[in-house]
Amino acid sequence: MTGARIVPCGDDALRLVTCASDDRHLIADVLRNSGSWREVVVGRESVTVQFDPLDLPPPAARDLLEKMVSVGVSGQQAVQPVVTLTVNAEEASAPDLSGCAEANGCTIEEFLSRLHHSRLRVDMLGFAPGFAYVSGVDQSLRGGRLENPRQRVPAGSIGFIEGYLGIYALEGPGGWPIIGRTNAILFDKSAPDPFLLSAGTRLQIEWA
Amino acid sequence: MTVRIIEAGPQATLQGAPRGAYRHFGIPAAGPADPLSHAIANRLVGNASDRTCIEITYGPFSVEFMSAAAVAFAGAIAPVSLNDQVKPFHHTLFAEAGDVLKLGRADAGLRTYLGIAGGFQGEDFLSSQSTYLPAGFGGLEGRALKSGDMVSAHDDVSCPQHAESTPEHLRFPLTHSFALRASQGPDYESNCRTLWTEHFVVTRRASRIGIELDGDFPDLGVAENLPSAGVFPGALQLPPRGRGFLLLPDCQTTGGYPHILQVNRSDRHLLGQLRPGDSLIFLQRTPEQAAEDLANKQELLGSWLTDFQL
Repeated sequence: MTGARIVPCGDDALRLVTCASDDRHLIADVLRNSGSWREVVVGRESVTVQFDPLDLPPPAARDLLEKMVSVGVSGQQAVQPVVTLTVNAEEASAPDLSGCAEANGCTIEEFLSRLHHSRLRVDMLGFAPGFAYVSGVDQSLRGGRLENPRQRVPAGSIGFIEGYLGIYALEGPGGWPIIGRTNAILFDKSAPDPFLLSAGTRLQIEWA
Repeated sequence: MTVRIIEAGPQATLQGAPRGAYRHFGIPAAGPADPLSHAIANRLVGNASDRTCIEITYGPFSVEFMSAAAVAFAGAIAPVSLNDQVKPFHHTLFAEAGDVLKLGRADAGLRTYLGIAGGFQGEDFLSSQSTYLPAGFGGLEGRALKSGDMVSAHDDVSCPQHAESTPEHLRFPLTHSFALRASQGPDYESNCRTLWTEHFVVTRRASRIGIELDGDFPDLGVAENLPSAGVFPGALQLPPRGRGFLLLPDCQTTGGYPHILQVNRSDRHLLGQLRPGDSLIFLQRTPEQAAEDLANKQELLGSWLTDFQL
């Protein structure tokens, strides 16, 4: 993998940063299958591994990660199905929608239309069970995290940060401005496959 | 063996082995917030160190025994009684059917573990019985225990014949001041040096997900929206113009706020004992020093907790 560098994350984790979009899922599979790492977590532009310093002193961990990454990866992710989510955008479900539209100098309708016409794809799951980071949002739309994260965001909420949507499968704390909510069951602990979405899933948003 | 919960206190949950290696699905580890005290409670009743215990977040807590059982408390020290007779903490206790076991409030520390011979039975989800409250899985119906709940223990382990006591040198004293060894996080900057000298205070915003800290935090020059990346318990995050947030076992698997410090694995078990109002300093270590600290502490524990890893 070219251009990636390794950054320590405390005493028992290392991060590969600036990984190309598809590469990081492939390298994560290689790292996970090696059995050398306690956890392998894909981020938006990174792969973070946790190791056991009793088995693998920090310098040895770094060497091992460098070696595994330098071997390189090849392959392609399989094409994933399209999932359509129906999303409510009235104020109770979308407390930050009008603010996001205003910040972009457009009406709520224009803002929603630009999301509807975005080529959305689940980039990764993370943060919380079933939480999906969705890429492909119209690049002209701007917006950042809330200055003060909310302690409770309802399940099904859809957050927006420029370039991305974040879909909350469960109620929980969150720092993304909320621009809608879906009733779809995104996480079901009793299902054989508990997650509706997975990395690579293509998404279509329909506004209710 | 079954116990009936009489009083559960502010929050009591079943916690056993953490849910390992599922963070890439967004599934946090859960498990005991203070895994060392959890292991001690198990050891006192003859269990493997990862059997499921009741994690009691501050008393008062009480149970009635439906059948005879061997139990023990470890963690934040609080008064213990069996049928209103005072009993020792850090000690195996033998109860008969109908007996009532009570735990009062701790003066310092936040979490006490009740171990039972065989271990409590919780719902298994992804190879772990540990309760994860935000998603409602593991434990008893994925929720906190409440008055009237019946909680059973496995009976595949024979009751210990003799009472055991935690060795004095493994009874870590808890006060209202903590010093935690930590290493630089990936978003540490040169003006973060003040973190090593500043005192911080735990606010009321404290749960199994994380602990908010009040104090003087540096003004970071980094972008407010970092690309979300993997985080683990022990991370100290700093939201823009905000207070620091220390992550615990139920924390999110990825985060986008600057990750400035990481509490080292050697001392992470102490995070489960921080309560609102406690003060805290961070002691600077390099990852190499941290590995040595960990090996030393592990050796100290290993003489009595033979199967436990920090």
